Amino acid sequence: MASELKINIFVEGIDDKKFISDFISYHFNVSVEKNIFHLEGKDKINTKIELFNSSSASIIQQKTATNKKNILVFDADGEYNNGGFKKRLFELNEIKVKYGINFDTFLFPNNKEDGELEDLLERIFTDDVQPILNCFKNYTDCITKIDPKYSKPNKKGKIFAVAESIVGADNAKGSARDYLNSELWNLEDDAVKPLKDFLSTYFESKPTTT
Amino acid sequence: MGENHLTYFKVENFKRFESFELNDIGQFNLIVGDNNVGKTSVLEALGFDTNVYKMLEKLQLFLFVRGIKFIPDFKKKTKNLLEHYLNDSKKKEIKFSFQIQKHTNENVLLSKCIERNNLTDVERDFLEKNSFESKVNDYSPYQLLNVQYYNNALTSVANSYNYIDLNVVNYSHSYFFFNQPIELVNNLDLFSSYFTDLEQRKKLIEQLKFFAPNIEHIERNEIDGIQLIQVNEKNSTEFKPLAYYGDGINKLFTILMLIRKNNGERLMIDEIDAGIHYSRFKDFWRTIFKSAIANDVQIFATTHNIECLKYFKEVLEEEEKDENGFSMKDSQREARCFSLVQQPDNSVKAFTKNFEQFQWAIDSENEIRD
Repeated sequence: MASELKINIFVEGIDDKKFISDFISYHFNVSVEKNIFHLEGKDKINTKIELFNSSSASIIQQKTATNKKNILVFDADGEYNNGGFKKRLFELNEIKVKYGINFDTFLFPNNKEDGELEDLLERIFTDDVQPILNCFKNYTDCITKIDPKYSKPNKKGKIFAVAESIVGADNAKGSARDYLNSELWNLEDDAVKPLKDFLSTYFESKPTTT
Repeated sequence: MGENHLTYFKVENFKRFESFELNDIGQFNLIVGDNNVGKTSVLEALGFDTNVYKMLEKLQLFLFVRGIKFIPDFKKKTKNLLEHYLNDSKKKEIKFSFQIQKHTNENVLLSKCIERNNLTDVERDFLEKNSFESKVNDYSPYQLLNVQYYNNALTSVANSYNYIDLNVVNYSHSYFFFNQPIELVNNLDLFSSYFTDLEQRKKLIEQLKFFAPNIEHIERNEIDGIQLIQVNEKNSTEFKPLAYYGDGINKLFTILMLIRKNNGERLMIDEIDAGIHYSRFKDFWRTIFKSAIANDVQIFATTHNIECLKYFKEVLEEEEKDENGFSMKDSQREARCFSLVQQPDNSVKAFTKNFEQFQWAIDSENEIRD
């Protein structure tokens, strides 16, 4: 088979795919390049449950047929985009029934609260980078002061801007980020513990060096 | 889609398949999957034939492309290679079930039983004398292929008439295997049958120019006492055998001839990408699609090659209309991709993707080959 790992991982988009790949590589010393599938498609449908259509479901159905475990890692989202942790869980269960597919679920940021991958990323910037987040806050407060109706960069924009300061624009884009770059990211932060604990039921942790 | 094209197919007790089916078959069907999952076996099963001799030709071909020249010797009680090849020693009857386009609306599983009108007197006589008759009737939903029956039929005919030359492997024209000898390239009968006039040859030249831009003429000529299909190039009066050219052009030429030969029927092509440079895939696919549409041929093709899949998709996205107002995009509804996946119980299941699902998977770079 293309990969002997007994697991399929389904994520929302390419950016999520990059984070999960690097995260698993770091904590479990395993490459999951051939085991991760994103459901975004070319048109980049952003309405979450619309990511499940006959096309994406057909991929999950096909991968489900093998003797592998399915994991789905999505954003919990919030009221701001008609989502939220409980709501997403409910919707995903309906998707399972509708398409006859099965998967274990983890919802960013921590599998219990509303939020997104970007909320987790914000927390795992290194200590040296955290002050740049304050600069960003000053920037958005300044815009609000000028006129509250002006839109401000969203969470993705914030993460990009902070990362760009350290690694440049090309390397700050979601799909190009190197999450193994310890200058920018701290993958040992307490904030990642829920994700690590979830994944450790499928992967063996790499030995800690002393 | 042609009225004789398959829309549903199922085979039981054939090689590794206890039961295997293809649902929602289109006119252009890709079959993908891991090594040894059974892609080629699916192609072989799709060649089921009610005619005893044609079926034996196909079975011989299946073994021949594997380097086994099987010549049945009915005088010797030797191990039967065919029986072992087809379903090992299970001794279960191989069954085919299918629907074809013209009867899809009636939702009937047709039995394409041995068509009695097509039988010779010897075959009809054999049927009447054997219990095989009782397994087949006009309303049977199955076409039964009993290998022993074919052996017996041939024995009977050979003993009676002694005219079958089984020392020659006759290549079935329903197939193109990637490692098949290119003798078909010099199949003069095929060439003469389907490219008889200048207009047809001119069209053929245009189709072959994708691989050899300077080709101007194609003829059946003699060289050193041997009749061959030969071509000449621009600014040259010299003809040389087409077989001297590369794999790509020979393969395309052979497939175009086989498409003409299988007018209204189906053609199975194993590893369609083999020998084709990625930069030629679009022209290759477009040529095959247009020829298959013009000749009402249903295509089943296996491939491992992701670029082959991508260009299959890209050609079917082309919107440019031809002189008849037809665009490749109009054929999207006839495109399918069947991903063969081995299940935990070792059975094989085919996951059907229509064009939209296939397009999505390719665009999102999600692996669909296994």
